[in-house]
Amino acid sequence: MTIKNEPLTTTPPTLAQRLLAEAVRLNEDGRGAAMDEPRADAAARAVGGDLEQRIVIRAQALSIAPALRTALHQLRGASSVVVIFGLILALIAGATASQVVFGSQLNGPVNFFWVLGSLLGVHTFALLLWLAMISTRSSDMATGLLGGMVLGVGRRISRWLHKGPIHLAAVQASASLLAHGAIGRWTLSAISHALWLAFLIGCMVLVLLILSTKQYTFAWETTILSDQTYVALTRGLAAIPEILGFAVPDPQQIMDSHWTGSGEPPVASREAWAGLLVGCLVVYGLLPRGLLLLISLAAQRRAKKQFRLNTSLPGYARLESRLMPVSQSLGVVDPEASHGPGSRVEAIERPLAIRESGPTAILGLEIEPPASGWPPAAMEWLDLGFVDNRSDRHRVLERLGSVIPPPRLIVVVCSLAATPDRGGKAFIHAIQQASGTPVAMVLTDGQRLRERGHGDQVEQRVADWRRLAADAQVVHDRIVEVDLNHLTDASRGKLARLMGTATTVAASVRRIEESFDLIIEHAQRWSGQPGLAEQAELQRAIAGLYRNQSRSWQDFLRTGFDQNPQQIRQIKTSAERMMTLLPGRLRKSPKWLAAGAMAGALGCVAAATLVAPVAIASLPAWAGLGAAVSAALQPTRSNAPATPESSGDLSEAISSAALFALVLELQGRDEAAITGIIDKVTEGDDLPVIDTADAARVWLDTLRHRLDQALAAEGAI
Amino acid sequence: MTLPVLKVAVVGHTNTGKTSLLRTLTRDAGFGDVSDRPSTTRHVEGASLLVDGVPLVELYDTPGLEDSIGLLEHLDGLRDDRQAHWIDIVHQFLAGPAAHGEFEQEAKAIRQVLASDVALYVVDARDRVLGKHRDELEILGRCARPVVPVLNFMASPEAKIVQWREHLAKVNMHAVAEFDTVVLNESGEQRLFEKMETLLDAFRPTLEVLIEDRKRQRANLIRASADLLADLLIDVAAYTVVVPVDDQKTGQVMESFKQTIRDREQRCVSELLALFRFRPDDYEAEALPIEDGQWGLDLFNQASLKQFGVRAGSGAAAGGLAGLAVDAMTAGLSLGTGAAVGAAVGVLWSSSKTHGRRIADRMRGYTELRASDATLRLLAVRQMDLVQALLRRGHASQEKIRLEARAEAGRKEWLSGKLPRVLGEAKVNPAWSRLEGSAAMTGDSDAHRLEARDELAGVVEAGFAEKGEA
Repeated sequence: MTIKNEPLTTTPPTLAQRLLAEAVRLNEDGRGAAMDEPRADAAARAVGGDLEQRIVIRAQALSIAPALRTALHQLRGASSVVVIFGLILALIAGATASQVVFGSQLNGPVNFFWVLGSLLGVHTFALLLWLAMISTRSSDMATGLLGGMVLGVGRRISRWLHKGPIHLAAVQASASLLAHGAIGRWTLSAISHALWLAFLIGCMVLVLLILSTKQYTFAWETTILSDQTYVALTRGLAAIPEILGFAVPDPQQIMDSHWTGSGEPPVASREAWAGLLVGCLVVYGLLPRGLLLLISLAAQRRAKKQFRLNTSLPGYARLESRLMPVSQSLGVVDPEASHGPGSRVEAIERPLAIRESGPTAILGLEIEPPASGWPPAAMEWLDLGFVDNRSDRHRVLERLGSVIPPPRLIVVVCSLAATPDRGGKAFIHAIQQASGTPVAMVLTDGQRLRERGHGDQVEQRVADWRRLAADAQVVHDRIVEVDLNHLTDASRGKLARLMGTATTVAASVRRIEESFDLIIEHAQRWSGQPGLAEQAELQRAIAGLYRNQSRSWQDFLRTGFDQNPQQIRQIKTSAERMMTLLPGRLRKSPKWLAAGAMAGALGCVAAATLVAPVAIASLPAWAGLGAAVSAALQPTRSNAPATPESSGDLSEAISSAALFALVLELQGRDEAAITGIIDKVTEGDDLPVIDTADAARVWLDTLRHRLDQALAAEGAI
Repeated sequence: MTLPVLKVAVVGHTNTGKTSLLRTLTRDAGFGDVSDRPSTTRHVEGASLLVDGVPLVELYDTPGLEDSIGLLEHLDGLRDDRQAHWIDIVHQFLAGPAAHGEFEQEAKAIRQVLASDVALYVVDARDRVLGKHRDELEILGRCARPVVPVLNFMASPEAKIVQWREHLAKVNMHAVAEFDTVVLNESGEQRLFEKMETLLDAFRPTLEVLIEDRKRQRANLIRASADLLADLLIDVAAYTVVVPVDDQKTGQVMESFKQTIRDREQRCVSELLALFRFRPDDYEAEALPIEDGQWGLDLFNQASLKQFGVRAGSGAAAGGLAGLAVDAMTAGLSLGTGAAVGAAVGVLWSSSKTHGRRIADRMRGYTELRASDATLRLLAVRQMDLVQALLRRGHASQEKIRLEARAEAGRKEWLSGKLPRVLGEAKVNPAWSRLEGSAAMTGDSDAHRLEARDELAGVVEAGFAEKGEA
């Protein structure tokens, strides 16, 4: 590997390049984030190919690449030095081993099997161990234990010589390369075999030297084994060396070499025994190790070629989005015409006037039948029904042309849940043109849109419908937002005003003072923090004040509470409903959220027991109330009860009752208006700690004062 | 790769989520303009889906078919000869003046359908089946191209699936895909491609490759996020700081200790967001259980534990005030001093395995700080929730996802079950932590840490799988 800057290539990456990518990954892992070098990313994207290819190219193009390459090179150098050093040591160790073995047998003949065992025993044991490891594919590190130790020493030396994250990454990269997979297995095996080979060469050289320069007589001894055993053993060992042409002792020579401690050593068989010793070293030592070294090197070569980066590692996976776009923009293929459909100027027509007499026609344009019935029960209508398709449109146009007397006004009910479109505009324009009768528009279903989580977008949607109305020549004043699904006195008034009929709706009587008095009264009775039953009693009392409007607030709060098995869900719905009424500021406060959820849930209970008072605690759903509130409160948690921190704090109970009273007082307004007023009324700090009835009075007075201001401001608009 | 490139026109009524569908499929939150307003898209814009950098599918976003009733009437008017093929009438319309005037927007969409191999007809399933929808389908039927209806907003409780399916069956459209561009169903995208396969035999290999690639990406994502989580948990579990038992100093040390863990969690959040291709400026529009890329509630706030239903455990009860989820280890020595430290700085104490080093530290007047189990549980559950939310949502989402309270085996295990064995091991291996201040990382601990992380990542990944099946 060269240290020079390698050119960016499109050929398959080399192992060195992949290793560099590994080092980059580990370096980035260490610092916690991927390096942000757009130039490198762009280079990778420009070259293309699969993810690995791109990762490799990015790694090469990074600014730290040269430093990492140097570090990897140094590490490699250190490892090579250590391996060479190890080989020399092994050579010396082998020689020393021979020296020691023969040296210890100065008197009398040399014990052949003792010498053989000493020289080949450990080697054979290690070889068997290696075979077992490699065939069971057990831990890669263990396979080449000796090699692993040598490389470990190399890494340590390198770490000791070079400090810093770059070198750490280089060390980790080479370690991770060796710790996993075939490369590690075969590299470490190859080093192990090489070391043993060096050791055995050392043995061999010295054995040959000793046997050439000194005279030894070989013999064997035994205490318990029979001669036959030794003959068989020796012949067995000699089988392969004999084939290879080594001189080996024949059975007679073997029998003669049995040394019993005295007598003449069998001189004649000396050469045969020496030949067997050298033959065994070659056949059972040098040859297998040499062969395995070659096999390991070949396998390592193959593994190096097959090595791929594991691109599912988080360090790589996070690069995928940068380097490997899953999509690519094709740009605008058919541009918008210079005159958009909306910008086409249509002749401004004089607005049609509402006729003095005649029925008021009403039709629902692509709406669902409102929950409050059709047509809305505000007045007498000429009902044209729902218009959903082409034939409906033709029917309505024909009817408008034929009805006598012609209607004074056509009320078109549209759904805010639907998106205004040019088809609707064309139809509204058409009925106005065809009948000469002005159109007024009622925008319903605002609540449905809010429930979709588009609370903030309701205004936008209303504006879109108004724009469509303007395009269709509908006069601005003749468009109102009234949710027909829950008509209130206020919304009926709005409808009546729209149609120019006198409003007969009396302003609803203000009862907020009474409600607040009720709260204080109850708070005085409470000793410590009230239970759910006590809170429910209070809310029932407040609900009682608004009994005559119960229908509308029950619709509004969605407290459709009856004796069905869905009670718990119903309570949860009400709790959630109340929470959605809270302004965003309060929704961030856990205390206010809890108060809102409680107000909604207990409102549901109050509604259920308002008409037929029963003991609240005997409601079947009672046991699940707390859980329902919790569930509404914290969709992300499983079962933490909403309990205030200190037991003397009444603030949650008081604020929940106050919220309930405020909503009942403000009912009939748009939801956005109610939320706005609540926001104004509760402005300032988070919920204060209220621990006595007096503190409650002070706080409620502040609320009432702010409510007056908010209502005055509302009137002024 | 010489697979044929599939061209797809995405059509539908205005504001049904055509652009959102493209954003979800292209994983590109920056594609086109999305708003909740009508006719946001007035041009035809394309994007291709790549596998290994090779474009396989070209998707074209078209303007909405706003006035289908009018257009159908117009087409009917153009047909003098009852024997004429509708496709010829459509060509006649495109060549006529109406295609550049009144129905220009519709003409663009239809032109693109004719230039494509298949049309995806996107429907807002929350709408009723109205006359205009029937007419849109009728017009598409006259374009002589296969049409796959895509029911969008399936996750909404308002979705009228049965009604839509019934109607689509009536007009011979049986291969219907269900989708939700806001809440990305794990297999929704795959099923969409499969539906297209059933109609487009020639492009089956193309779509197969795409499906396989998306599957692989997803598996990679899950594994990579599990790895990130495991890394975080091991870093924090192993994070051990030896401090003098000195009340005044410990307060300060405690704060920096907690800050380190907070920063580490934040790093994990950032990494997860980067992994899922969410850009920092997506935070506003792209809603997650986090805000501005951060968890709203502080890790060491009692409310956080409560919110995620983590029990602070008996250690908390002993400490008197739950929530400050940090253990100061006392090595089982001098309970009195430990409790005093605990009371002074509000830490929970708990005795742990006695180690010689610890005893020595104690002798020298030092104690160890490390994160408590409650903190680890909270970290795990919080990040798992984030991953789950990231996995589920489409790139077009414009609203905050409300994670339904679910009975999830994986999560429960983390909340109240025994913590994985590896974490216990991490606690007694300070060297495993890469956080500053913990014992320096050495080469030796690396392999073990890697093993431990892999094992833990497996546990975390299994948690995701269980959640997915629920």
